[in-house]
Amino acid sequence: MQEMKLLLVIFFFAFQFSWGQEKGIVYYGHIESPGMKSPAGPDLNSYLVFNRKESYYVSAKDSLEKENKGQKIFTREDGETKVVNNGKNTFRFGKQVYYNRAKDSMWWNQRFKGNIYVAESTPKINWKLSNETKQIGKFTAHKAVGDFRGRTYTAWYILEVPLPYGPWKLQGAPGLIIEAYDEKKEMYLYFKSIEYPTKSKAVISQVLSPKGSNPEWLTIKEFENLLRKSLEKAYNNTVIMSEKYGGDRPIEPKFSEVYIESF
Amino acid sequence: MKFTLNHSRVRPLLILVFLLAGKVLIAQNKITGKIKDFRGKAIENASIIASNAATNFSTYTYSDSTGRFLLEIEEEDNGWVVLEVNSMGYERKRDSIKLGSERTEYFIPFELNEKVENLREIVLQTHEKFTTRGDTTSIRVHSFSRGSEKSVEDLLKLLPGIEVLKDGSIKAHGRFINKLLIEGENLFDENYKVLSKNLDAKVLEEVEILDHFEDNPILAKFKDSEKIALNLKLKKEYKNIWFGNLGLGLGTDKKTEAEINLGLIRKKIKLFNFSNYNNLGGRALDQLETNRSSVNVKTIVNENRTEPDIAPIYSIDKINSILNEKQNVLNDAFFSSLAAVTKLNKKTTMRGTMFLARDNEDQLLKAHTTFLADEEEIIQQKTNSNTIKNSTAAGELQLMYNSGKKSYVENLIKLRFEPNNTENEIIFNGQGINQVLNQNDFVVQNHFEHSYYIGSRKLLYSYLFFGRERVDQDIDLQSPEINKLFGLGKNSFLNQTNSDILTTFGGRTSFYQKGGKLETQVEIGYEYSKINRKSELRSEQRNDSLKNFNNELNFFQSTLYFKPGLKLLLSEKANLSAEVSLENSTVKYENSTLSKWSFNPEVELNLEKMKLGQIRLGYRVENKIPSSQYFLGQFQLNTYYSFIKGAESLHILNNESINFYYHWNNEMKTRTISLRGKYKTGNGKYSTKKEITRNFVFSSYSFVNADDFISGSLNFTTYFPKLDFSSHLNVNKTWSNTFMKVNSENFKTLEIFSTAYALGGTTYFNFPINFNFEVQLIENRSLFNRRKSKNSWMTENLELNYKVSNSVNASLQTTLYQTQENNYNFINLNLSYHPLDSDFSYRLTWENVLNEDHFSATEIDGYSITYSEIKLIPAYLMGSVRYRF
Repeated sequence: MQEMKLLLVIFFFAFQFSWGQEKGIVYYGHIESPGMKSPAGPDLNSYLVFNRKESYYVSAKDSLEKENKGQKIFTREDGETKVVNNGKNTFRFGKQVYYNRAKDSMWWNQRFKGNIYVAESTPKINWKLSNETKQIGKFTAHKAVGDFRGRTYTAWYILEVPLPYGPWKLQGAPGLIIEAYDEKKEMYLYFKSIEYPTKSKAVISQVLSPKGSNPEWLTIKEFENLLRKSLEKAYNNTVIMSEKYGGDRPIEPKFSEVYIESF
Repeated sequence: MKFTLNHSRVRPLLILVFLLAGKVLIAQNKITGKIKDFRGKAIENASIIASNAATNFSTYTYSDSTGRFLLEIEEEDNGWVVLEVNSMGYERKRDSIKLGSERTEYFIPFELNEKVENLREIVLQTHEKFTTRGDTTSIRVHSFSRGSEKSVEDLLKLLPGIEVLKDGSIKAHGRFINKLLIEGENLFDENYKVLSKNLDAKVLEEVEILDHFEDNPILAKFKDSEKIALNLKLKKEYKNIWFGNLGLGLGTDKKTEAEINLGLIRKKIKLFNFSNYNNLGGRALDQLETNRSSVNVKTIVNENRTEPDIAPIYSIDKINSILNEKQNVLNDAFFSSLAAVTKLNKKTTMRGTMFLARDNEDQLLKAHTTFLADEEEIIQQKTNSNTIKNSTAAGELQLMYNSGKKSYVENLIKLRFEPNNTENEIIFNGQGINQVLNQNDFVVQNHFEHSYYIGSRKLLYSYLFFGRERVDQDIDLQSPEINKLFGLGKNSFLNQTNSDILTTFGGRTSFYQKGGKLETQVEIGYEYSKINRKSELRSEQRNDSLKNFNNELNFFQSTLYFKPGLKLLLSEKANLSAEVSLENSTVKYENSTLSKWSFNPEVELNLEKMKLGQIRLGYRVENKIPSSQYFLGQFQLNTYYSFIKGAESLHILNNESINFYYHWNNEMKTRTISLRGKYKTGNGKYSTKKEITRNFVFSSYSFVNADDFISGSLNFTTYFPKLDFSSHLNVNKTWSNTFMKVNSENFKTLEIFSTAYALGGTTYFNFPINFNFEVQLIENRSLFNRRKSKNSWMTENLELNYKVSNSVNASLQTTLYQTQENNYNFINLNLSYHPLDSDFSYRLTWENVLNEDHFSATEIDGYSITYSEIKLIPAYLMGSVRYRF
């Protein structure tokens, strides 16, 4: 009987453990086109791995893109190929967002004149739920609208995965967000596939950084100041160039027209 | 609050607080509950959505670690509320509850059944196919358009990252563009202005900025190009149909402008026809002027084309003034162009262009020149009246063959025919002179390029060219003074025929290899030119040739060179490039032959991204073959009062130069300083020797061993964000020291010193009126024959813009010229109206409001001072309308 009880406890714990560890993976398309007023930016692959406690999202990662040699050969409609050389859109570890529900915090990195790393408590998005639904694959996705850092996002979440995760930094809806975009579609995240549970080797990890780089974690305020300063610099530069070489009067850019996140 | 949000854990204490608060605060329902599994174990992080379909209300939360949740619902959403609970690994559960006014607290427990979760779904959203072109910036133009733009050029001015300069040259991302493509095709090549100035803005959907652009697919493999191009993409509705626009403007004083533009974009063929006419001062030939290009643009191999260029000897004085052409060019201009691109097969593309341009122009010039050659001043006075008819017919045919991955071939044929007729009446020193010049210029050239990719970052590039230019001149001259010189009757006619033919061919091959930090290149080339210059001066009275004033020159030149070069990345902040050209130059004419080996090094060190700023230092030596005009055997008439002759001896020209560039900006980029400096010293050049009398000038050339040139410029630009104002200060100074002979057998030093200052500013106010201004002061001084001369003038520009509404824009431009003699003030007013969503647009212009009718200025060129006066375009008012289809 004692053994039975022990077995039951072990089974129970194993079950709990396995539920805690059961992970899912969602593949998305990630298009960021700040300032372009349309989703005209590079269409990058991304994925979100999650369990009940945490999630890890990554995009612009070298290994996710076939062509990362900085060169693009495209075929025009008349069949002729044209070669356009490009700068790299991806880098080794990619742009990552790690979200831990227990700690109610988010850690993320992005490229902004070098790698920057930010740690912040999970930003709250006041999602307004709507009755509207649409079919994405076999899922009935529900619509929610919320403001996040200067933009109003439309998110489509599914109740089949009732976890508050989503692509990039969009989270906190009643279910997993599988598609999201802002009003100008300058941030456009769309669903490609899902697998739950998954045997994918993708790990739910803290934000990775190159060995020995020892990232300095910025606060969200420090990040905001960084953007503010950069925007001011860029505008100053266009004014200076136009004053120096002549040309049309530059128009002062709005924060949200230049950056995806504005404060 | 219409809804609550709570997806973190809610502590029981908090619930208690809420429950107590609920007693105090009225009209808020609180639904609490606990979620458990069948074993009674609390389920954490389950999502609970409450919704009332009748009031269209939803709220949601997540359960805490004890499985508890709390939802708050306002009284206005009372009624039947559905609660839905979802949790990973459990089945969905629903319950409903009626919220009424009798109570505000509800408790609803849930017990969930386990379920094996297995989700697998793949969705491919093909409709979301967006352009994935890494270094392509796509700009949807409708978001930037104000609706009042006429041409593509007007629209490009508004797009971020793109600038259009006053001469029509386009810059993108700070550099001059290399090509302006339309639907991926390079229709106009270097004449892209024809496209940007004439294509209607309305047809554009998108503009793409192509960074690191390279249209040669083999060179593109090296992804090193710093070239940049723009690609214009048309709206769907303009594809596969003829589209275009018509425009007409009529003004007082018979001022007219008209345009017809047509285009067709199909898969197989792309075609454009642009035609326009004006008598407002815009020259047709200017539309064919080559655009500016960025210097120091890194290209893998030397892709410059060698084009034939020979300048005729005889010329008629033309007005060269500091004014804008719309102020002083009295003309009739007609321009028409046709351009097409078509695919011959999968691998071959053919491009063809044709241009026709005609300018009829009248010029009236009064001038008074004082030569400072002798102790006594020599003064020449003239009144010049020109009637000029300039035409150009030009065409290009280009074939491009792309064989696949390894090789690419391109061949370009260019033809140009320029007939010109100028009738000129002059009163020179009180005597009437007539001259008629008929000139025909014909150019044919062929350029062949072959690029071959050897593999592992190695490339072989070959270029072959052939060119021929022939300029024929026929001059009828009636000049009493020249007739006197030849002992002819006062009203006798002289006829001069000149024929100048240049034939050139050559080629070069470059081998290029790219390593990690080192790029190396070896170039071998050969160029050959043959020039034949023939002139004959005849007296119609005596019906014979004036033999002592005729020339026949056969001039040959060839250069063979071997040029290794390298570019080395020293560190992230420093790079060094060096090349050495070992050249053998041979020149032959009449009985003289010269063959010389020379060594021409070029080194540049570039230090950038330093706190101190950017520094570039360069040194270069050049040895050049002199051009054929220095070797005319006898005096030949080159204007109605002057003769020119070549030098006695043959030498290779040589100069050395040092360049310096420095740039700095502060961290916030509100202040920048640029400094440029150049020192050039000639170790051998041909200088002029002039014999000037009151009625004639006889020039010839002699070789001097030294001359110097120094130039320096400073630019300081600042922006004051708090004042919404930016300003710039430019200072340019040049000093040159050269030797010449004027009415003497000895060389004398001619020193010229010129300075230009400019101060300007622009406002960025939030209200609809803004202005910009610039004040320029230009001063020239010279010292020759112990005589100093000086002239200076000042211009003040002010432009005011008033955006009345989204469809109406008004602007005022004033320019004040202050010369030593007088002040001239030009005022122009513009009003444009483009009703939104209309195919018509309207414009009203009032040019030269103060009706300035003439302009005079003084010019100095060292040994002479010329005071001139020209006629201007009188005031006119003009209204124009444009229709798009």
